Amino acid sequence: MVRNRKLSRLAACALAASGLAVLAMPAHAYKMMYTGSTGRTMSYTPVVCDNNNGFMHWNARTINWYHNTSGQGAGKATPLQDAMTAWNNVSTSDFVLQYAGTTAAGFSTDGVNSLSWGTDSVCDSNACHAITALVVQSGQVIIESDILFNSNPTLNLQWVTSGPYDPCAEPDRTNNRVDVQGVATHEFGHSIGLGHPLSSEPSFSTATMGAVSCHSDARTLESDDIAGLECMENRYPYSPSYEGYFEQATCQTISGWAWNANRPNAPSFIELLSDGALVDVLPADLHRSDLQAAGKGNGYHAFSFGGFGDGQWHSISIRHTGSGNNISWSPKNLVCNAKMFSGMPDQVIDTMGQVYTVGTQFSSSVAGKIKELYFFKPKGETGSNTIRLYTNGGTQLASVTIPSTSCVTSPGSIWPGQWCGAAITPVNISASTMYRVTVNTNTKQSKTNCGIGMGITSGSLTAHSGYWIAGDTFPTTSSCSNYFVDAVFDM
Amino acid sequence: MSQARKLLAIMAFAIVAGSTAPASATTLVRQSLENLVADNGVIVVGEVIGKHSYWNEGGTFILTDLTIETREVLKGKVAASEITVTIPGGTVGDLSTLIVDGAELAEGRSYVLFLDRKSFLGVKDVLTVDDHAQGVFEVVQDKGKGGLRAVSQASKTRLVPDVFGESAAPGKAEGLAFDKMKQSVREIAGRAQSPRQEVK
Repeated sequence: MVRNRKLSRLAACALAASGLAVLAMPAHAYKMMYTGSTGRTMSYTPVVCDNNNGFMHWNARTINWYHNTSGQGAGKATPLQDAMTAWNNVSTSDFVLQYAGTTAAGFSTDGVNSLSWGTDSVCDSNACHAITALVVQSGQVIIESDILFNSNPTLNLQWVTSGPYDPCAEPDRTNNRVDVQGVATHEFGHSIGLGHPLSSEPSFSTATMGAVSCHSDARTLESDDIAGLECMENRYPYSPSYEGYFEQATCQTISGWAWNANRPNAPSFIELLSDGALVDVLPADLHRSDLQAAGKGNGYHAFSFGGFGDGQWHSISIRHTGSGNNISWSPKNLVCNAKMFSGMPDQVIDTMGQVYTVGTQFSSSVAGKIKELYFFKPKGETGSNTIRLYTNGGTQLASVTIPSTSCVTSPGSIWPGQWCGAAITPVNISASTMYRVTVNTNTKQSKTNCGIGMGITSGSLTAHSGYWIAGDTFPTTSSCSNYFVDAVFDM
Repeated sequence: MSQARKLLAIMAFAIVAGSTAPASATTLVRQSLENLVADNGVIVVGEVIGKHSYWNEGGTFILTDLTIETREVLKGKVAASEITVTIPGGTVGDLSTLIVDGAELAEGRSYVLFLDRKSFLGVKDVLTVDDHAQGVFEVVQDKGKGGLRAVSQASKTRLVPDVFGESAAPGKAEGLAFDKMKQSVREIAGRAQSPRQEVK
């Protein structure tokens, strides 16, 4: 469900029907870098922005880079700074890659983000132009990055700072010219936390993070690169000013809105948790005119999850990804698809041709809707069966005649039979109010003697008593027995 | 009921893992199979049966020793059926160091590994995957045709074109037929003096 954005969009369409416009975000192919999953060792897995497990990111926004000017590192300050500028110039980003001076440090874990030309064998072959290392703490927080440019003298790579520099255009590699700025721009993207889009994706050939740095356009960022940077900012914002409300939790829609006032026209990311367990991460990026009218940026800050439920109560929380804090009015309790009975009858009664109507008196602890009616139809039961929903006083609220095709075989039942039921037009029921659900039986009847006993509670529903009567009419005789007539409830 | 089952599945809270497709190339130049065979002294087929990450002697970089149970040696010689391959990056305690698009080796999986003896990042004369992602081909089942294929970890992205203008890793995304690849590697290794031929 919730991973399925289509459902979210469907739910959003429901909002649109109530006067709220919905627009989708543009598709991008950029990939972020996730690390830490079982079995991974040294590299990363490319993931999308709403990956449930997150991705590598910086908590800081100013990243100081130090330039080792030894060897071929001499005279490279300007192209390195220009490469930083390409990322710094993204107006929607807070990142500042700062040329902080020179250093003697190199490709090592020492707290210094270094740019160096070296001959270490980690990148000295003809296969390697440059390589980026990241040092990551728990939570996938990047705390250091180093970039090593290949300076192996036997390869004699010419690290040029102005054209011609495009080795793609000179496949014979006569001059071995490699562009410092293009390679550095690409590597800085990695250092921020961006991976490569997959080669099968459309933007690969043009994006700086996709097209390898032999392309002349590697010096400038494409929309896909910028979208990747914005993903980083939106998912892990620096010093966010969050606001949001968990407005609605029903079995059809979990919705509300959330934004980061410091990024008023960018989508904020939220996490959905159920009973403390993460279910999904997604951007709050649906448009609501009321949000826009209220000055919440461009108004693209609403979220809507598709419905879900397993019949049990759940505490649903929504929290901001950047802070881990719940949004306002979170959590909410939710129960969906609640049914009273999960067991099977322990006997089948032969009615000897007498029509009886049996049923269950029940209530819900919260208001909601009855959307389906069921009964356990024993083998040998013939004729038509109609399940009815009544008030406790006998006013019929809904009914459905069960076609045989709606029955589901119940494997393992000691009394062969089937759960049979059908959807009804949802009926609103009040909290803590008695109702009855009944079915007529013609030749056979399911039953567990005193099976309801003092009551059976499942989710929000409680079965209080069984009821029966001879004939096809509203049953009025109470019993502690369970006749396995059930209703499905949604909040 | 199908809806109920779907919803139950939803509430199972299965976390959808991201793609496990390995990436390639920090800024790496495409290596043909011919190049990989020529430039690496040891080529084996083996399974990763253990790994151990540690700080190098100078405390400047985390490295990982991988224990490889060799199934076949396609080029060169190894001293024992179990060999140790050292790769930059790994996790020690709360800290991880990773090479963007470095070789990625997972325990329990089988690979064709292009290895060479190198000294790097404070370790001396160890077997390593010098070509990073390009030096690792994972051996996987061919779900379509049956049999096995060897898929380069550099196959999901484009590399800097080689001298032939080719930018895709050997075998591309679908990989090379495993047996055919092994045969090619042996043939290339066996004709050390003959002119190189492109093997895609």
